[in-house]
Amino acid sequence: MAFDKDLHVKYIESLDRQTDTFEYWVTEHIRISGAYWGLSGLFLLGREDVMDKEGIVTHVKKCQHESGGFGGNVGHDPHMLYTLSAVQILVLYDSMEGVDVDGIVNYIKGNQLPDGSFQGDEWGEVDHRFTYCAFNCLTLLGRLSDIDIESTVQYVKKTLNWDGGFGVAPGHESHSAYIFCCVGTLAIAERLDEINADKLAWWLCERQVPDGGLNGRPEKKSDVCYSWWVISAMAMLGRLHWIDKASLISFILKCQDTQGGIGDKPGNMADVFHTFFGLAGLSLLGFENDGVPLNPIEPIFAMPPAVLDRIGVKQRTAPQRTTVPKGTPGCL
Amino acid sequence: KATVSVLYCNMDVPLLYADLLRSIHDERVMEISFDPYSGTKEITQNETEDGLVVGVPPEAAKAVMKYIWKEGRDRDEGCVDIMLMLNAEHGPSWAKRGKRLMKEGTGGVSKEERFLRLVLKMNPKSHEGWKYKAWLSRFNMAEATAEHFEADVELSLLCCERHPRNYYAWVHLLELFKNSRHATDERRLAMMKQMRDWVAARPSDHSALSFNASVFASLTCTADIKGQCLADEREALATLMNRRTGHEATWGHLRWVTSCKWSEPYDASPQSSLQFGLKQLIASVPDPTDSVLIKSEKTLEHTWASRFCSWVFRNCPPHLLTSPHTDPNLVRSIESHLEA
Repeated sequence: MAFDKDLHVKYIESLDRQTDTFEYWVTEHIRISGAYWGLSGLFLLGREDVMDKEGIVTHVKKCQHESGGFGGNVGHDPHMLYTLSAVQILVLYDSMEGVDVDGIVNYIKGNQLPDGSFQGDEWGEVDHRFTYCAFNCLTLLGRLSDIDIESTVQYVKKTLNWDGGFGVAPGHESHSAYIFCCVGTLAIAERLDEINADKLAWWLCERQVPDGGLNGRPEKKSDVCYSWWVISAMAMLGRLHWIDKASLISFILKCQDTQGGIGDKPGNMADVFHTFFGLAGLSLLGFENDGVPLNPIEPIFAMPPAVLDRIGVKQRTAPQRTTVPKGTPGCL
Repeated sequence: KATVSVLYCNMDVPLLYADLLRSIHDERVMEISFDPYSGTKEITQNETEDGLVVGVPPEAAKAVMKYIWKEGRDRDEGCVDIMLMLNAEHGPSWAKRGKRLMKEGTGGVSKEERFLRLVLKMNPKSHEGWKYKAWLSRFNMAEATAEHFEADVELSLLCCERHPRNYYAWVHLLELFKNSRHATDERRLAMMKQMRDWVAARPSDHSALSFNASVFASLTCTADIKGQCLADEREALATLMNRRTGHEATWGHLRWVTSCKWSEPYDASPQSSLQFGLKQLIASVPDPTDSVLIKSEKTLEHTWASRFCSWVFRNCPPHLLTSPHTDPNLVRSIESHLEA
């Protein structure tokens, strides 16, 4: 299916009107993340103007809890995931005025544990997603130095597995999404020298399977969201050229829904999560629609580079390698 | 002998809601599952040897969710129970249950464990469900008995079986074996053996093999016992790989087993692993008379064998590749196969 930009714009725009559907109800607790995925997808398509900026900003600000963190929807308990999504939306819209920034920083600081890891909320789950959320969010706010960066770097290093990858916590199976989180954290901290980039990039490019798509771990089927987690990590490691780009682009395009949006696999229904990550993957791969590229996305923060420049976030450089090692899976 | 009784014949949603809630709280009910094949909109009840199994058609589930959404999710405690059966990812509902339990204290834990079993059997992949399970284990840690531990192991394995490579179920299982006071070295070694048998029937279960690698790393027994355990792991893997070819999971585990050798004081050479790699490279060269199926299997085996050998060359400490225990002719043979 050829890439149909207008259809994808229409799909994303329509989502907030479908308030009487099963899918809308079962995702009410993650509404704020859904808003981030939809809005970011529209930024990639250059059509962020179709959304109700005032309405979204007002709704997001209502999700801030007295603790400083943000919940997934109004009246919901705060959580690191939704705190990041909220800040990303407000930064995208340049609408941070009136937000309790110190409150956000204190909420995030309060979730850092003595070993450098981060919990998601008061219930104590420790997971590298929250490490990445903390680093990304505080950098967007210009307050990364408010936390103990070194202890987190040491904790991430402890999670390094024998295969060069990272799992959810020390000792657990390597997983592309957690690799993204750990590589992103180290990239933000400018400590990518702490890992063996070649070994990790090798594991990552083995995620490409015969249909051209990427999976999250060995023996799993390909899924469009890994078009982001894997290749953004490879971009951060300076080894995106190890992936067979053409077949990955072809896979993502096959995952488009004829009604608009992108699904996780060819033939499956679209959802806003896979739509955003499919578009982000296409952007990072340099896909052009009728000779026009999608708007760029920065791989570490998953934000438009122009927005990061606007708020003064420093560019991080990837460790470079000029040649592809013999036997690298993407070349087989 | 199973008997089926239809609980009601229409979509009276308040009745659906009440009957689903009754099933959740009925101690005889061992399992509630989505039943997409019933062809009806009725909730069914099957009597089996293990207890009652309740089937919920997707249309009934959607109707009840809509009902909860419209009527308000705070109307009664039953809402939370049903929300989680039908949408186990609803974090706020788990938080409500947790707050309720914290008021009750550990006296309410067994009821909570039963509810979690129902939810996880219906939603074996649910991240929020497993997150709550982990929290419950911490909440009840002081009171948890060996029976609790084994019940947890059994539930985790059931969910791993229902959904292969079920990441969060394996995470929970590994945390049990790393952190529970009931996970002695003897129990860990027995579990590793059980996993070798598990993988023999499921050679693509990479998560199970990864579990064994992590449990091995957590052993605190003597070097001799660890060495024997690793030797058993190698032998089981070799038997499996000779019988079932083309699996990324087994070739991945061979990388781990090979790299474990590199730190051994004696015979750390990758010679035997490379010999196996070359044998498989040669055996997987397609023959013109091969059927389409055989050709496809050989292609997979060749891919993984060549990637394995490349991986060893790139990651093995250089002094081991050039040591007297590593045959340079073997290395050259493999290199020329990889070039070809």
